[in-house]
Amino acid sequence: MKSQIQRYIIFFAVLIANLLSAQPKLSAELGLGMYGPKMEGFDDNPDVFFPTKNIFTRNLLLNWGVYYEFFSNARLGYNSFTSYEAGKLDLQESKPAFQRSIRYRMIPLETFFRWRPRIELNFTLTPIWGRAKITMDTKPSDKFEDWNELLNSFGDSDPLSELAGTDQLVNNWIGYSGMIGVRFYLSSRLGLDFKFGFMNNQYKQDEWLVQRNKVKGPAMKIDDLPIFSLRAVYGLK
Amino acid sequence: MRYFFCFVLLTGACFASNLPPKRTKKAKKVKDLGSGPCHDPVHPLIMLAMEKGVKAVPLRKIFLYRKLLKQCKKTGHRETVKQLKLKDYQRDYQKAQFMAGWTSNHAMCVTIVIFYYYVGMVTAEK
Repeated sequence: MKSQIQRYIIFFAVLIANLLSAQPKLSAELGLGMYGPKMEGFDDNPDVFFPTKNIFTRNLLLNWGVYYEFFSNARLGYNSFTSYEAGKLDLQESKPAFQRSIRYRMIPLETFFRWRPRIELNFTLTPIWGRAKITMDTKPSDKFEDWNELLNSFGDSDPLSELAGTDQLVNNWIGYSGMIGVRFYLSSRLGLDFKFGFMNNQYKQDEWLVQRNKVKGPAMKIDDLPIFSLRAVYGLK
Repeated sequence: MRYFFCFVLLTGACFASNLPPKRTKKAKKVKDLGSGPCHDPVHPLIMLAMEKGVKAVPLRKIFLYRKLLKQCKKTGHRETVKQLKLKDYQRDYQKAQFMAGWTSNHAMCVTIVIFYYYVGMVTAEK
């Protein structure tokens, strides 16, 4: 038994020493993504007009990420694509400020190899935890009317019974994505990375929450989407 | 004596060439470059970059490292700096050149999934 414990200690000591001697590689990324969702709930809404429809609020995604190279040609990290929209709505009672964000949060597993000393090909598979959020800054006196008008425009017929000081519509979903990329190293620390692939989201229109009550949100088609991204990568360590 | 001078002048005129007289090169002044961080004893940061790569240099010391590289260039070690950068690319290239074990399987899975997705998209549109 004693020798067995010693064997385990030696085994783990070798394992840890191996991990310590390997050079850790931490990198941060910042860039833009592009995709083409169909946001019928916003763009084809017959009752409420959303004034800020353009390429930046519909097709462009802000992208940042952090990766850790745990193996000589594999990385694990966190990556976030965010679509953001802000503007003023023209409702019957008031003109509240409106914000909408859709965040695709990923934990990618990326493997890569160097095709040339400066060029790398990488392959990414990742689960997605998506979250959409809609907030409206309304006057306390018009709160119920404004929220009900917005929800009714999305197709929800039940009126809201309770609201709080800061109200927001939230929806969570899961999905997955796969991407292939090419990275060109400008220096040994700095690189440019272009990726293309797809993303599949299990978004359900009926699963929005406001004050823990299920309501119907905007119709969006965000499943089976081709996605492209261009980012700058900096090796921190 | 007169014939002798005539002979010398004539032969001189016959074998004379238009080439300008060769100028002797001035001896190059050897600049006293002084000792830099790449000279012996090599600066520990440069040594670290040589042994483990540029990425091993801590981020908070990156400005000092760049300053040292500039000094290295000024003190006649331009080639050392060049090699330092090249070696880093080569090191990463050799380390990540081939897919090892499961990583190649992962890459194949990703390729197949994306290929399947795009083929599906094209055929669905048709």
